[in-house]
Amino acid sequence: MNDKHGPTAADGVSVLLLDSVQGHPIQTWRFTDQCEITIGRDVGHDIVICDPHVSRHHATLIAAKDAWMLISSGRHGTLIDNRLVAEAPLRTGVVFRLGPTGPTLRFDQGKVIYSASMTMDQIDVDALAMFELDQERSRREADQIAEGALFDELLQTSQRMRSKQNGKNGPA
Amino acid sequence: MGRDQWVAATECFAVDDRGDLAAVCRTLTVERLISLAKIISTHSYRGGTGKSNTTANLAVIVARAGHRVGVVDTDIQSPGIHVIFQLAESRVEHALNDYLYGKCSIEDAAYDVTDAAIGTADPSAKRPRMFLIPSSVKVGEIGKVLKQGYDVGKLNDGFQRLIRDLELDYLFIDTHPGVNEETLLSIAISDKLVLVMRPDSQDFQGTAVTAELARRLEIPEMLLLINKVPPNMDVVQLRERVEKAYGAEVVAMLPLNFEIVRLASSGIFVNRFPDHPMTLALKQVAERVMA
Repeated sequence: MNDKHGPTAADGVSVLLLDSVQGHPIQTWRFTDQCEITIGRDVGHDIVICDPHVSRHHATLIAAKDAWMLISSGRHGTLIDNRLVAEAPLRTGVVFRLGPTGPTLRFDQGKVIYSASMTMDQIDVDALAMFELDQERSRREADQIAEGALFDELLQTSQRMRSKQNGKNGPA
Repeated sequence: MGRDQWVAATECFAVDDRGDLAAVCRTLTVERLISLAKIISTHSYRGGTGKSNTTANLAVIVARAGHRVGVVDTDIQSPGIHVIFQLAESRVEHALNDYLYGKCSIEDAAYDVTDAAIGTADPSAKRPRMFLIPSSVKVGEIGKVLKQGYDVGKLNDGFQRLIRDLELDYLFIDTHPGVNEETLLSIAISDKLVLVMRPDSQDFQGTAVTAELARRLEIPEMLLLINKVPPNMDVVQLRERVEKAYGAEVVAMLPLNFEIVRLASSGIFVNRFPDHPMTLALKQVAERVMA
C-alpha cells in the first residue's frame, strides 16, 4: 500500500475526461487525501468509464514519494504523447489516452478553481440542491415572451391546425 | 402556400370538381396525408445538450419501424445534423436557406439519406425512407440569416409541403437552442415536443420557461429527456424534481455516453450500438413518439 501521507495528495488531484474532438473537459473526478486512484470499466473503480476501449481494470494512479505515477495494466494499453507507456510520472496537465482509440483524460494537481459556467458534470455530483426552480421567474419570463401579437398568432395557427386534424382523425 | 390555404384550396377544388372522381380522390388522399403525419420538434434551451444526436437517432428508429421520415435542420445559425447523417457538403446543392430566400423549392433541399440512416434499403420500396433537409454550412449564408432574418411563415409552408410531397409519416424538426420566433413556430405546429436538457442549473431554469411556453401554445404532448447524466448522480431524485417542477413526464434519462462522444456526431449511435442500454432507452422514447 502506498504512503497515505504522500506529499502530492494533500491538495488533491483531478482527473478530467476530455471531449474527443474539441478537448474541453466533459466530466471531472476530484480526489483529496487519496493516494491511489483506480480507473477501469468495472464498477467499483474510483473512475468508472463504460467504454469498450477501456479495460475492466485499466490503470492506477499512485501518489509515490516524489510524484504521482501512472501504472497501466489494461490489455488496451495507455498512451501519453501517442506512445504506449507501462509506467510514467504524472505532472499536472499531462494528457493520457486509455487505449489507442479510447477516451482521453487529463491529470491536474492542486486546488481547483471553479468557473461560473461549470455544469453538473464538473461539480460535486451530489449537489442536487441546486435544482430549485424559481417558478415565479419562469412565469415572468414566459409572460414577457408571450405578450404581443406574434404569440397570439402562433396560438391561433396551432389551434386551427389541431382542430382540423382532430376533425379528420375523429369518428366519422 | 400555407397548410391552411392549401387545405382550403383543395377543399374548394373537391367541391367545384365536375365529375373528375380520380382528381377528388387524389386531393383527399393528399389532404389525409397532411392530417395524419406527425410533426415532432426537438428542442433544448441551451446548446450542447445532445439535441441533434437525439433527433437523428429517434428519427432513425422511427424510420426503421417502417415509416417515411423527414428531418429538417432549422438550427440555421449552427447547423450540424447533416454530419450525423454523413451528408457530404459537396452533395448539398440546395439547403434550407436557399428555400427560405426563394432560390429553390423545399423539395430541392431534401436529400434521401436512407442508405446512411438505415443501411441498404430496397430503392423501389416506399418505406422505410429517410430525408434530410440540411441548413447551409457556408459562413456567408449563416451570416445572411443572422443579418437579414427570414420569413418564418415560409418555414411553416415548407414543412407542410414536405409532408405532402415526400408523403411523410413523421417530420422531425431539429430546432435552434433558445427561444425565438422559429422555435415558437416549431413548437406551435408540433404534435409532440421532445425537450432535451442536461442536469445543470441553467438548463433547469431555462427549460422551465420553454416548457411553460409550450403549455401556453397548447402542445398536445411534451416529453422530457434528460441527457448526459453523470455517473453516481441520484437519478431517482433528479427525475422527481424535474417532473414536479415541469409537470411533465421524464421519458428517458440518458447517461453521459463516451461512445457517442467518440462518434463525434459522425454516425448514428443506434446503428453502431444496437444493443447498448442507451439505444434501448432511445427506442422507448421513439415508441412514445410513435404512440
